Amino acid sequence: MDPRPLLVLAAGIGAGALGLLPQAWAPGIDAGVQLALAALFVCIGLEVGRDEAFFETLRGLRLSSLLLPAASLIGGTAGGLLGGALLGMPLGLAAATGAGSGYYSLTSILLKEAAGPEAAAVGFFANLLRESAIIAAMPLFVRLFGPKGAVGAAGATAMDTALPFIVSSAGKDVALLSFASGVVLTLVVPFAVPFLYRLFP
Amino acid sequence: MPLWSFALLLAAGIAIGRRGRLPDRLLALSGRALTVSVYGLIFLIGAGMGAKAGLLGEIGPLALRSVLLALFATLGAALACAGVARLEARRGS
Repeated sequence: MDPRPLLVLAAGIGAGALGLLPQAWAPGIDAGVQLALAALFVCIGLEVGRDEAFFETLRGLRLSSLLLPAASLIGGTAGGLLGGALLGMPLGLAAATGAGSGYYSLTSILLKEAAGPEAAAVGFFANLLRESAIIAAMPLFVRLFGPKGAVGAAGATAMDTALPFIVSSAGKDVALLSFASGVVLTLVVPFAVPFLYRLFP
Repeated sequence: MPLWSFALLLAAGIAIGRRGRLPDRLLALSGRALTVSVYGLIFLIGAGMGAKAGLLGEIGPLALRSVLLALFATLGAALACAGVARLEARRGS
C-alpha cells in the first residue's frame, strides 16, 4: 500500500487542526479546490488521450465486455447501500462511496465538493481500504469468487494497481478483461459518484 | 461544479491529448500536474477535516464506518461479477 496519500491527508489534518490555514483563507481555498478539480479532470483527459493502449482497449470492447464493469459498479453501489442502511448512514453517501470502485483520490475529492470534509473522509478511507484489501487478499478473492469476481472486486484499480496481483493469482487470460473493466470504470466513476450522491437524498 | 462540466473538461483533455497539438514538454508535465493536483486536493480535504471542530474526535467512528462500507462494497461487487460469470457459463454450456 502506498503510504503517501495517507501521509498527505494526515499533514492536511494537522495543518487544519493547528490553525495553520487561517479562516480568512477559506474562500480562497474553496476557489483553489474548484480550480484544482478542473485541472485534475483536464489532466486525466490528457493522460487518457495520449494513451494509445487505452483507445485500442476501447475499440476492442463489445457490449458483452461492458457487463463485468457494470456488475462491479452496481454490486459495489448495492453493497454500499446495504452497509449504509445497516449503519444508519445517509444513503447518498453510502451509494457514492460504494460506487467509488477503489478510486479513492477522485471519490474523496468529488464527495468533498458535494458534501464536505466528513463525507470526503469516508469516501477516502473506504476506497483506500478497498484497494488495499484487494491487493492483500487477491488469492482469497480468486478462490471465493473466481477470476471475474476478483476483477469486479478490484473495481477501477483492475487496470493499474491491482492488475499485477490479479494476473499472478488468476492467470494471464484475465489480464485484458481486467484492464478493460478498469478502463470503463475509470471513465464512469467521475460521473457515478456525484450522480448517486444526489440520487439518494 | 455541475456534472456536465466534469464531462466537458474530461472530453477537452482527451481531445487535446489525442490530437497531440500541445508540445511534448507540456504534455509530459500533465502527469506531474495530475499528481500535484491530487495530493493538493487530498491535503485540502485533510485541512478541512482538521479545521472542523469535533470532526477529529469522530475519526474513530468514521474509520469504522469506512471499513464496513469498504467490506460491503467490495463483497457486493465481487458477488455481482461472480453472478455474471456464472450466467455466462450457463449460457455457454
